[in-house]
Amino acid sequence: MTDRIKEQLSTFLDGELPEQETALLLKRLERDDELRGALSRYSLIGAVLRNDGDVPAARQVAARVSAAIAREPLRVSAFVRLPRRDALARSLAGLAVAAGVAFGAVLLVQQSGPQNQQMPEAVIAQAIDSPVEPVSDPSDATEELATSYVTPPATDAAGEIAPAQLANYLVAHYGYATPLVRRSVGAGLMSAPDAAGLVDVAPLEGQPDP
Amino acid sequence: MRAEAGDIALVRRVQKGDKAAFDALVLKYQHKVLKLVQRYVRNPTEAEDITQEAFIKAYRALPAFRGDSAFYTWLYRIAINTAKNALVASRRRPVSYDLDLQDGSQVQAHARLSDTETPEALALTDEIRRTVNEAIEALPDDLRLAIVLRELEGLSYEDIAKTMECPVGTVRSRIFRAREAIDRSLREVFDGGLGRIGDFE
Repeated sequence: MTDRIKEQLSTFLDGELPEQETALLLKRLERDDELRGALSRYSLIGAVLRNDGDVPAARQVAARVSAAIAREPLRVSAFVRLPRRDALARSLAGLAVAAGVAFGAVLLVQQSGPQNQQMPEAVIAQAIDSPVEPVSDPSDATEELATSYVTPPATDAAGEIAPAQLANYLVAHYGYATPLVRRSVGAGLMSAPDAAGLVDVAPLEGQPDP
Repeated sequence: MRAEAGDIALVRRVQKGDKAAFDALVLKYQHKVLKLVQRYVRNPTEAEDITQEAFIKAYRALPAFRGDSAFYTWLYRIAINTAKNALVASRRRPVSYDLDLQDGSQVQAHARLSDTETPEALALTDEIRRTVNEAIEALPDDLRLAIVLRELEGLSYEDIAKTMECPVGTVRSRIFRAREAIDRSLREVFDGGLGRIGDFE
């Protein structure tokens, strides 16, 4: 371990190391126990100074945490920003999917006919209230951060998409569309002349009949 | 503050799947978190277990961390809650009640509890404190001022450079040389048998 690397370590501890050097240093930290020891002691020095020496000796905490984390599944955040190109591609893909869904929704609404005079707002409310089940991971049953969801199973035996399920689908997938698309899809659904027909469907399995 | 920006950069790396970045955060904060937990839990071994658990919980929750608060403030709350849960589980009362949960820095103002550590651990802590303080006193003025401005005042390298009227690169070098000088003394303590060098992996 050279002084240059240890100086990088010191700078890294202060949050002043440039990003590229940080990446290299982290790789080195992964495989260099001596470097890890130095980082721990540099950190201890600061803790002693700030706490007037009242710092307990951390024994094997870092090593034990590191071993435990190594066994953990990889956890990638949804908040990590995508590179600009990826974000643009994702937006375009979302736009295309949402536009397709909107087009299909309008067609379905036009075909379904005036079977029920309930207000369109009730359609959306029913869709929001319908069950959206979290995906459970058996390896992590206590995890509080489940963020993935699936839509309810289809119940229409005729193979035709029930309008309420379509509304469910739209609501459940709003998150993948841009705000502009969300507005246009929602407005398209609600302003369709025959939208009232959407509510004339059997309740989904496990859902109380309104 | 620049150090917080550095933490956030590490957090973002962890969120992209870089586990080594989390190791670095653990190395950086293990002493502070352990000290915090020891205010709630008397048994040092149990305190280390809880500290470990707090870090693992933090790792699991990190994908949801948005960076609205400083990383350590967030970690501090996790550690406090983990310690409290452990106390509830063991049906014991906390050692101290008067911690402000909103401000992690306030914990530093509280006095140490005499029965939280074994005689051996206390001796080691005292030896570490004495060694660090003596090493600080022995530093040349420019090195001592640089590390004090950094560690006690929390100034960025740029601000220290302005204060000391020197380039940022010189500040970086001075702080490193100060740490290295203190670390040399610390290593002698650990190698001397009082401490356990393996404890500071």
